[in-house]
Amino acid sequence: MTERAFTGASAERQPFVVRPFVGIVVFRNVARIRATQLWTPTVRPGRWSKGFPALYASLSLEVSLAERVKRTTVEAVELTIGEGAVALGMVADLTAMQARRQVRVTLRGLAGADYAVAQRIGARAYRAGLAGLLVPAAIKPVARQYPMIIVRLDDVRLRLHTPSSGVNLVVFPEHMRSGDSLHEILRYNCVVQGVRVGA
Amino acid sequence: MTSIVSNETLSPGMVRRMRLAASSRAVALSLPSAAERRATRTDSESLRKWYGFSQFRWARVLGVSRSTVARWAAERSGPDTDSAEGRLFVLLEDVRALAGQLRRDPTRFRAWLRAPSPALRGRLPADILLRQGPTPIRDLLLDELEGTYA
Repeated sequence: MTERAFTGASAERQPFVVRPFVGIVVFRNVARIRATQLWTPTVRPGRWSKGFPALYASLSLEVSLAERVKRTTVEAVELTIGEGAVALGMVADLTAMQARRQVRVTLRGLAGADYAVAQRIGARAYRAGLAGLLVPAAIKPVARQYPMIIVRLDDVRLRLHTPSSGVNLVVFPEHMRSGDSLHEILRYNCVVQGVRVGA
Repeated sequence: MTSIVSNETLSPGMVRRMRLAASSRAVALSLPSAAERRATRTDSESLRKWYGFSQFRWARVLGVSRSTVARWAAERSGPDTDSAEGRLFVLLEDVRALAGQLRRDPTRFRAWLRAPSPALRGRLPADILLRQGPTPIRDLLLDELEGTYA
């Protein structure tokens, strides 16, 4: 399958450029108490979704942890981390400037404090029947305030540099088609904590 | 390799059921029921101490006078459930319940309340609690439980 413009029956205004997203590992985490629902999409509003189910994941572990530290900050939190292999036929990639121009949005608009623009794009992608969106992670403030993340995995203690940018995958499970899949390949428990500037 | 989400396991009917359940119980799933709330209803002073707020600050959070908070403390009581401050009180209890699910003791929760949060544009959760009420704080904890990004 090659990259192509997809207008969909109900796509509005500018079409999304969609492409397959296959064979890539994604990372996701939930509070350990919710480990049984690690791959359950959420209906509560997120940056890219409001009023429909979406599953949020990242293309790297560091970005996934930065997304968590964004909320939990200095707290040492017990997480269950999952790694999954993804195959989705129709995904719009908004990480490239050209793709953002196509749908007339800016990086600042997508990653800013106001979710309105991102939620509108998410709703358009959902209504257009896409299975997912590749989006820039809004983690710059995390790297600025919490430049290091400590991860404790059994006896191992890692200090990771908090990334200031990265890519997330937002999956719309309702729109997964024949051949689309998300398979868990690994899961583990760990304790994660952000380290504040100067600490 | 375990199939978690695929077309075989995620039929349209299953998605509909999941969506209905999730939309009606998204918050309730993690929070105590009305009956549990009645059984575990706490008094204002206990909850204030759990948050580590002064009576003055607690009065501002609930939108009441400090003398009202002092009276509740003396009577070991709290606001009426039907009042505006009573509804805020229920939300504050919900936040405590969620923190408990996340295994946060009061000390750790207070430290979190007083650390700048990138999800709140660098502001302190305690300040947000004061200015906007408990809902944004509750949502942050629910995000953590569910793995939602912001």
